[in-house]
Amino acid sequence: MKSLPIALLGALMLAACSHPATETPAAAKPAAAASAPTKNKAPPGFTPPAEADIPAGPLGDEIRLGRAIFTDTPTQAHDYVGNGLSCSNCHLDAGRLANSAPLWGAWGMYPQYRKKNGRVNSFGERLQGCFRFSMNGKAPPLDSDVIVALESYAWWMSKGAPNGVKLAGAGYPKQGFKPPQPTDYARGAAVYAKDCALCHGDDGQGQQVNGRNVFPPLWGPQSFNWGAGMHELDNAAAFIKANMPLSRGGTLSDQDAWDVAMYMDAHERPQDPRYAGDVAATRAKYHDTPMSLYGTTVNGHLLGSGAAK
Amino acid sequence: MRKRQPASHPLSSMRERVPDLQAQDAPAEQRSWPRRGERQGWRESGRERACGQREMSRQVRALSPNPSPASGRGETRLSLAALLLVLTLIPFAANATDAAVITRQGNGKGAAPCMACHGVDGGGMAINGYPRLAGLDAAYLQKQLDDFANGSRANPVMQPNASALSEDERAALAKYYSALPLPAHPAAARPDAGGERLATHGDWSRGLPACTQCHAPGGVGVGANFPPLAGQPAAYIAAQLRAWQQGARHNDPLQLMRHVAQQLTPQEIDAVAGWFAAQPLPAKGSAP
Repeated sequence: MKSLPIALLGALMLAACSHPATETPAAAKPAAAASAPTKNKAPPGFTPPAEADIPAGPLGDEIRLGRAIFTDTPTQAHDYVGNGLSCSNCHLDAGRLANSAPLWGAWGMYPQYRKKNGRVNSFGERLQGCFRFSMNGKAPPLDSDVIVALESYAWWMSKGAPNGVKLAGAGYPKQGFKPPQPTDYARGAAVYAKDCALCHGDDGQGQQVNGRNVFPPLWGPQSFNWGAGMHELDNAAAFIKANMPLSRGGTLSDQDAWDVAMYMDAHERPQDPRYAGDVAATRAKYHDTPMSLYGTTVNGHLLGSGAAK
Repeated sequence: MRKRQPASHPLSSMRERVPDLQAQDAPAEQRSWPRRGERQGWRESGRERACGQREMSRQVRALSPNPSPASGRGETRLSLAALLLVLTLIPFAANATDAAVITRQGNGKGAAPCMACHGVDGGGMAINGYPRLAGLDAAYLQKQLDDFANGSRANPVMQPNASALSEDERAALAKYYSALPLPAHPAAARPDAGGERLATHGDWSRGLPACTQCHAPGGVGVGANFPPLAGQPAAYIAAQLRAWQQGARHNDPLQLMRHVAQQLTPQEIDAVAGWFAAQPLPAKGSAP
């Protein structure tokens, strides 16, 4: 007559083990709880042609090569890239997206005088700067396949756009975009942990699959160097506000975007290739702006002094 | 003295449904449970009839003398003592953390054998939309089991099963499946081009990034939060997109999938699911 006690014990066991099932069931939240991102007010000043409209033939091939370089730069322009980044990491939708520094917003603005180097730069020279600083690599020659293909892609994308006119959606939307309060590293760290680390990792080193970045490193030896535009707080904050987290652009508050931009740019990264012998001299010559943390001390560390190799 | 018969056992009704150990070697078609004809496709909607597991789970719960969900500390101690005793008396009760046994036999406490739906090799069952588990990230798998148990991922089949597993068992199963080799993936039908476009380019005019921007080129997955889509059943991927769209699944970090899924048309969901289903699994030995 063991069956009754066994039945009871078995039932008790089951009651104990089904406990997790009934523990604080989460109420289903309506999908509509996802807040809609704030759209940038001004509609884009230009709509680029569809990729399917790239023509056939040798010119089309060059345009397609430019697109391939743009979206997989370490593979397609290997000799000129010193990190794992691709152009499309900061110029979303393969350089087509408004408020993400689209190619169609830049093409018609060159030649342009640039304070960065004190000269009038052609579009090709501007692209060389990307390789030297953002890709932490070296400038491809102006007549190289890499530059010509990228120029072809930018030219094709800008067909029909007005020449020499700053279009709505060009660059990052930093006009009038200021932090409500001065930026703060600790607040930035909290924003990072909540909204960025999921993809870019707790340590900011991104995530890689088969040796290729899926999510790019934001600082450290495999990120952009101290000469890149993204190390300046206004560029980073405007990019982040408009575009991050990916697909959720416009959801961070202005303050969060500025704080997390400051947090990102208060980490070490590869040295500015124009390094002038010491950090103070390099700051004085190239980074004498409140938008650059290079040569300033954050949390007791002089930024630029331990620049990742 | 009367011999202990399965029929007199409190778990006997379950035992009939749970495949014997030997069943692991039998081809899927010969296994008695779950019965093929009865099985429903993987649905996240509560309107769908749950397959055998839920019914079983209900029967098992009905055995409980205390239907109240709460169990006090004293009861827990008593239950633990009971558990120990029962474990010594029931020859087929699985070791609480032996994941391999649970996958074949269930845990003896209401959780069905995983392999009944997810296959002996963890490769899933494409025809029914049951996903592959083999080779997925352990932290991802564990989170999904936890989320089924806590309701943030709704599914009539998986919720009772995950709830019947202890936390340790969920962790052990996640680890077990993550360590399984990737099974062979039969070539799928040629997917339509619209799916490829959305998967690899997105549609930024609607704020939609390419799926592969987070799920990696080819949809092979990244880390604990971006599972592989390559080679998963199209019916499974499509059901998940609909579940996010409708709110039945809301366990996505930063609401990333809810936001994306809400913008997709039914045709786009099917197209993009078809494209990922047709993608090859990463080669063995490569780090997904």
